[in-house]
Amino acid sequence: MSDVITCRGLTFGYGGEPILRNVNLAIPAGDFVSVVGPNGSGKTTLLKLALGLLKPDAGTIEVFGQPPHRSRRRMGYVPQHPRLDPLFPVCALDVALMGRLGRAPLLGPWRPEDRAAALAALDEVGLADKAGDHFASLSGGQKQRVLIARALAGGPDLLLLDEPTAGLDAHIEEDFYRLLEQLNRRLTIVMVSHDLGFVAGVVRSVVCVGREVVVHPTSEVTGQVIADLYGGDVRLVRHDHRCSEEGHRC
Amino acid sequence: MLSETLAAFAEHRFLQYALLAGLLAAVPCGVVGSWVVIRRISYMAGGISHSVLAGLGFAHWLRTVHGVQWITPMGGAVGAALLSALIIGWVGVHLRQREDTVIGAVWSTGMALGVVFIALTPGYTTDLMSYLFGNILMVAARDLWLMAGLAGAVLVVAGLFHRQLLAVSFDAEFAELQGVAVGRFTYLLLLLTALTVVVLVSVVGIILVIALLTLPAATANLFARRLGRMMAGAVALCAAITVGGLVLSYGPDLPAGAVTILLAGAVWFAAAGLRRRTS
Repeated sequence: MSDVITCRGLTFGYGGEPILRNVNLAIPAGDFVSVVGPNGSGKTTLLKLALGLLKPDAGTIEVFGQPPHRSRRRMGYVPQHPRLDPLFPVCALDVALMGRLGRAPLLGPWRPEDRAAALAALDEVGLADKAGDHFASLSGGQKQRVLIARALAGGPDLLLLDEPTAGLDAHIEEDFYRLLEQLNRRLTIVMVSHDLGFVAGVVRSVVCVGREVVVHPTSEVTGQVIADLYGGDVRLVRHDHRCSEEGHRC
Repeated sequence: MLSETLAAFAEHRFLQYALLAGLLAAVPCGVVGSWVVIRRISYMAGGISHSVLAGLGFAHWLRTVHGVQWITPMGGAVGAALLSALIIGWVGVHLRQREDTVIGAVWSTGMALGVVFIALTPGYTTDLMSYLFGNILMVAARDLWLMAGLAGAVLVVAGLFHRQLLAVSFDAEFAELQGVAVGRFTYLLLLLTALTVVVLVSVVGIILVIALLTLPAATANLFARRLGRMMAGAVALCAAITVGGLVLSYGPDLPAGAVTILLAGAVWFAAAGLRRRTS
């Protein structure tokens, strides 16, 4: 299988000290990757580099073998839950339709095919019956699903999610992962996550972001590893990845 | 007394023009006002509207002192509004930080320039009052044509780019990923706001414009859950409020612009109170 995201010597910083230094990473098609690491470690930055919203200081990042901005049509992005004006006058379908802007012509109203795609996306996330509901009146979990529908409406091959479960109840979170598992049958998924509780369930591999960025197959991520990722002694970890000799502090 | 007012409106052409001006202004007011409210750029709209005084004063000075007759006060207002929109837009798109400082600077230097030009111009200083607080009774047939043209242009452009403007207002980052030129649409919205402000200045004056631009839209937003309905509601409310303000102010001989804004404020307060009680 070909790689969906490839980083070679990727380095990036917001002006001062780089947050990401010399990252080498390959994410194969069909993978379900969770990006983990402490706050401020550069998880979201890595996602924004993949989307082409940020440009690397050094090295390259390619998505589907091209610079990220050329592959945007093949990417669906689900941002961190936005703090939204509770009166903002849009329904769930209006939001899902925004995912069609990249494919629709510049001028004029939505075409029937855009509406069909947006409705199909809402159906896929289980919200077909909520299409006409005021977006702000939906529950947190439903809003997050609408944002996934918006990402799916453009027909992506890669889904990028930024902390999609932040602030959701545990039982809603479980349903949410079931949905992602189902989507993973046809899409590659890269998800930035604030917690690690799910790892053994649906995620296939874990990208650990710290001063170095490393990939673990999920099967090798034990409780001990998780403890280590957040500041423990890395030499205890058994894994096959390309760790630097002195270990890494994720 | 109401029948006397109605009789006056039937008889006098200037009152009919004033009514027509109010109704014409309601259309861009409701549409662009809705964008201003959901995009949260009332303060930018305030900066643009106050700086319009520079254009009005400059045109007034050129006409009176230098005999440049081709420039009209409204033409000067259009120029000043568009220029302020470009300055504020440039800061918003390229600098982001300290945006409010620049808006404040445009706001007050624009007014100061206008005051200086008016002081340099011999003649009645009552012009200043009518610029600041509006004088809908002074609207002439030629102004009506210009207002109709501006309103039409604003509507066509806003209609053509409705989807992009909505996406940028809702989530600019996502819109950018969809290939929408977020910066350009920020400018576009500010330019539409500038033209709308010029239309409204004839109705309520520079200082009161923000209220007429935002209060009917904010009131409609309390009840509408889709943008189209919010805009339709805002247009209807804006029309009712400008006509109401004109009619109510005529009998007791009060300034129409001020009465219009008081009415807009009263409607918004009442609606917000009602909404709070029912929800």
